[in-house]
Amino acid sequence: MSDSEPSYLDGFEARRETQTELSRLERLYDRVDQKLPYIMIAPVFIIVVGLMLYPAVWAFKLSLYDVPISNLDNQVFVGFQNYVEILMNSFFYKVMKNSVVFVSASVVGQVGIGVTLAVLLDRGWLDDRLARFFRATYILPWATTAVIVGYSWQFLLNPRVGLVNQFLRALGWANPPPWLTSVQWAIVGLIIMNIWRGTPFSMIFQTSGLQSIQESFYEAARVGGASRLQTVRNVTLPLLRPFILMNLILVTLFTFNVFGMILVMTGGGPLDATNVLALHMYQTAFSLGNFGKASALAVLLFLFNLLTVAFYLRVFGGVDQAI
Amino acid sequence: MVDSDQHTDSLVNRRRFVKAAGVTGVAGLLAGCSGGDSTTTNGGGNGNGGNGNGGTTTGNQTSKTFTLEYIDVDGDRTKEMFMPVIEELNSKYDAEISLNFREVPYGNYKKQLLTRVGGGNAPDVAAIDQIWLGSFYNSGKLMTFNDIQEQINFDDYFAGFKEAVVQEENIVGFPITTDVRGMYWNKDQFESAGLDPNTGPETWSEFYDVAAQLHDPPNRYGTGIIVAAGIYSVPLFSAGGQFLKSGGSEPAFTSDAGVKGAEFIDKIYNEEKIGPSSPITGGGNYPQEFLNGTYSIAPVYGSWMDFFARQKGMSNEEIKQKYGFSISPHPSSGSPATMMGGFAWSAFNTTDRPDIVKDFMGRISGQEFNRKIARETGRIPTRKALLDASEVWSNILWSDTIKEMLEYGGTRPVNNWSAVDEILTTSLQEVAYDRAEPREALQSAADELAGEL
Amino acid sequence: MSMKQRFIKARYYLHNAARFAKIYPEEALIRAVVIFSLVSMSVFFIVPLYWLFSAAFKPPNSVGFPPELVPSTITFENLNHIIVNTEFVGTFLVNSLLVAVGAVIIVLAIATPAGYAFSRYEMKHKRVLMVSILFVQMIPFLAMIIPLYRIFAIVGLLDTLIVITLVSAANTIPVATWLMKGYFDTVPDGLEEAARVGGASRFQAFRIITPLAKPALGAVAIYSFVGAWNKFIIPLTFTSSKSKWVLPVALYKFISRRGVVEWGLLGAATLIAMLPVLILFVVFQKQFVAGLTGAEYKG
Repeated sequence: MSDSEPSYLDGFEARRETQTELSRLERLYDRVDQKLPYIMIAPVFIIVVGLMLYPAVWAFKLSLYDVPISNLDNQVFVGFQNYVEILMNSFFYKVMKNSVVFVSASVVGQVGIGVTLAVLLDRGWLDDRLARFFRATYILPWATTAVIVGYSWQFLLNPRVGLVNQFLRALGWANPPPWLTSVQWAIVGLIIMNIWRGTPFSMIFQTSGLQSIQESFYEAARVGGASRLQTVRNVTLPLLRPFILMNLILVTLFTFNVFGMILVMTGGGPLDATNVLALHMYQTAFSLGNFGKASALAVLLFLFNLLTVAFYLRVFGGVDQAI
Repeated sequence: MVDSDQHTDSLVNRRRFVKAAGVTGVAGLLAGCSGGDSTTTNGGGNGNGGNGNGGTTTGNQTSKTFTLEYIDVDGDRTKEMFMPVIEELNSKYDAEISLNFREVPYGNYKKQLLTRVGGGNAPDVAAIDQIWLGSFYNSGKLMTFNDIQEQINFDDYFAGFKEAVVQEENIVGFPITTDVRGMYWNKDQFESAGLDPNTGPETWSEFYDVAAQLHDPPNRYGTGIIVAAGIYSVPLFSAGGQFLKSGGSEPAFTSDAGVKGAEFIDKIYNEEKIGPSSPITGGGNYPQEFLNGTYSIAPVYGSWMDFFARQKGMSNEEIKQKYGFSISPHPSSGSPATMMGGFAWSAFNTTDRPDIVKDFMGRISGQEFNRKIARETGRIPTRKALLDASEVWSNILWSDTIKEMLEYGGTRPVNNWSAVDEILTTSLQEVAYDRAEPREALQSAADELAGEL
Repeated sequence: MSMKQRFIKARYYLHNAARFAKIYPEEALIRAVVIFSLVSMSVFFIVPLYWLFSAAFKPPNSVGFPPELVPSTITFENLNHIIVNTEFVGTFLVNSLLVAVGAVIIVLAIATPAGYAFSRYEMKHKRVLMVSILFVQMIPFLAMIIPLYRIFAIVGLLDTLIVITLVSAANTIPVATWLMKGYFDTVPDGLEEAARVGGASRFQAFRIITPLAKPALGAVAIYSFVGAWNKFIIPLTFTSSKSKWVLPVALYKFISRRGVVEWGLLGAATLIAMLPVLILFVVFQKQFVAGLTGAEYKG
């Protein structure tokens, strides 16, 4: 500022001085700086509105029309007929049930295994180098494109020669399930694949959450004579709550939208046992070409996402937990 | 934090700020640009828009240049083959015509093309799987070719194909090459079971017998059939049935013949138990499993099986030595049948130069070009006139069998195939998984389909 | 170390472990269970990839039924074919890099200031604004595809890498903003306060504090890089020329239209496609983990 003795008055004078010399540009700068917080968040909203919200609103509008995907101009207003047709058809509830099974099992698996692995690899359990090695192996599936790796999983789950069943037979299971061709087991196969692919994200997310827990908490637990398991239950998990909440929300939203992997692995079959909402939407739009109905399904899926997130927030005690 | 009015920073910092603000502004502008313009789109979308055709025909600013955009699933029917045609066009029209060839993998083809057509950005010409033609015809954007019917000698195509590319009496595409469905068997396994490796079973009952003799699970299954509407077409046709009644608005597979066709699948998986313990519902591993000896007989599969055999490194001679191929078995009361598929060339009427595109279509669909395509790609031609063209058939395995089969060939109801396929496949799976009897399963499919047609 | 020495060392370890187990049986059991589960999870995560990658080193067309775990002969033919005869490295890898790096830049440029502003300033409706960002994350992407396609057709951006970059970035920005906000929350605001009292403007304060958020910047960068790198439906929909293909789209090429896969080539190509991400993971693992939540300031 200045090399003179810093007195309050000096500073004040100096400020006066500069203020009178403010150029137009500087005044503009000043005004902009005042509004800076809003300017800083504006691009996010421009992008979000332009590239996500606006198309979504458009899709909502189309859900009230009968529109073939090959000719969007050929719109006939039908009101809520698309919704009525969907909700009156028992097929929707079957698909919904599959979605709920697929998403909840995937979410529980991904977040559960993610948290467990993160805790096991946290300080104190293992040598640091070893922990880093394990972490590196766990992260690998995240670096792949699910749709492509879906093909190799299809092969791995082959009932006769697939690695999975060879392994199970070696363990002594004489008649392992035929996985993707079985009405009961196909969805289990998909869930395994999805957990394989999605767990790394949760593991990393929780690892970083763990690292934000201050050492002093652990020290307190140690001084109190708590065992390892007690420490995990009474210190680690409660402090991890907000991260688990955020993780649950994100993984749920991701998983509800998964369809490409299912499309290549089972195509929704056998007997629609693996047909989930997102895949049903895809097929309605691109196989049957009914974009109006597909948009209505999208709106329903959105509402379902909303409900699920609201449910999480309720269980975990409000939005402030996450913010 | 208290706001401060102090300004002691240097001008340099301010400049940096202005610069940074500028960058943010540009980023915002870009996003705003797409957002803003889209409002106009919406307006157009409600009205008659869609003919904009923005990105495709870059050369359209002046009528002197025209880029013909052509998309196809693979490079087989590539640019090189079209170049002479483009040159002919170039000399005929007073325009600089060039070809923009785009390759789209099959798995994504229909989706991408639908998106493009729906988004008002259709290509000029595309190779379209016949079973998708209906979906594109519904867009009202397919060019029709009744006017050049004579010129390209449309009558020369086999009957099944003529049916497939005509929608509401409009010719909307020209068949390129085809594939047929037939029966493959493993000669070594036949031999080791004491059967004649050179003849396959002809009737269903013979087929069940032979498959039962070969059945040795879990090492080897007597047979295995993919449970899907497309595959079902062969037992359906050979029992004398059809998918839809003529006119295409009513299901016909609930007839006795249709039920009989579904019973073929039921027999394999449930009554005779000559197939794998759980039905095959996806085609992904099937050809390789057959080639590796998992199934002794593949009663219905496409003639592209030899493509996978070659991919495994086998020569044509080796393939013929190891596997047999003939028309699929038929019920003793029925007659042999097969189903043919394949791609057709279609054009979109949203093009900037319909005259050039139509001329192009006429040229590539003429007999001589067909001959060239079939010869170069080693695929089955769709014209009767090419039945005797030995240079075309020399590359095709089992050419005599296939020539015979072309006479029996039927096609799928292309204008409604997506809906038929989706609904019927589920019902056939119910049969295969023994969840429903053939008749009731087909009936429920027919009821559901009636609402969609 | 000689074999004998190694053996002695191993025996020493075993002996030690046995004594430990005798004294603290419970603790030893936990340890054994932990190690066992960690190892089996490693196997679970690695084997599918190992199998795919081992196919890359098997002679072409030799991936059979049943698939062999250990290739009998190792060949680089597949890798060689991909690198020399296809545009994999020359075009698709470059495209992927351009898209991913572009997306990272856009995400960082937009999410960092926004996260900062949400963390540091009071503003009207802050909660609503923050939740609404998460809100759009709930919209199924499939529904937006056709409208977006239409928008880009009008703007004339179809079949460009810009579209993939923009849409991938837009997909990541909401979560990235939340992550950045969370990180800035953990950075003590003493430094900025000092700067502000010293006369710095808001913007300058932001510039002072940003370097301290390096781990978060790194984490968000990797998050958006991986996100953009593995995007499949977006490039598949918005680009059509082969010259604009990115890696996942190009990989699709090895899956024939009957769903049959050329394993050797797919494995080799996937290996190449994963390499840049693997390098990122290995080099930045520590930063990445720390950066997601601000470990440096809490720990």
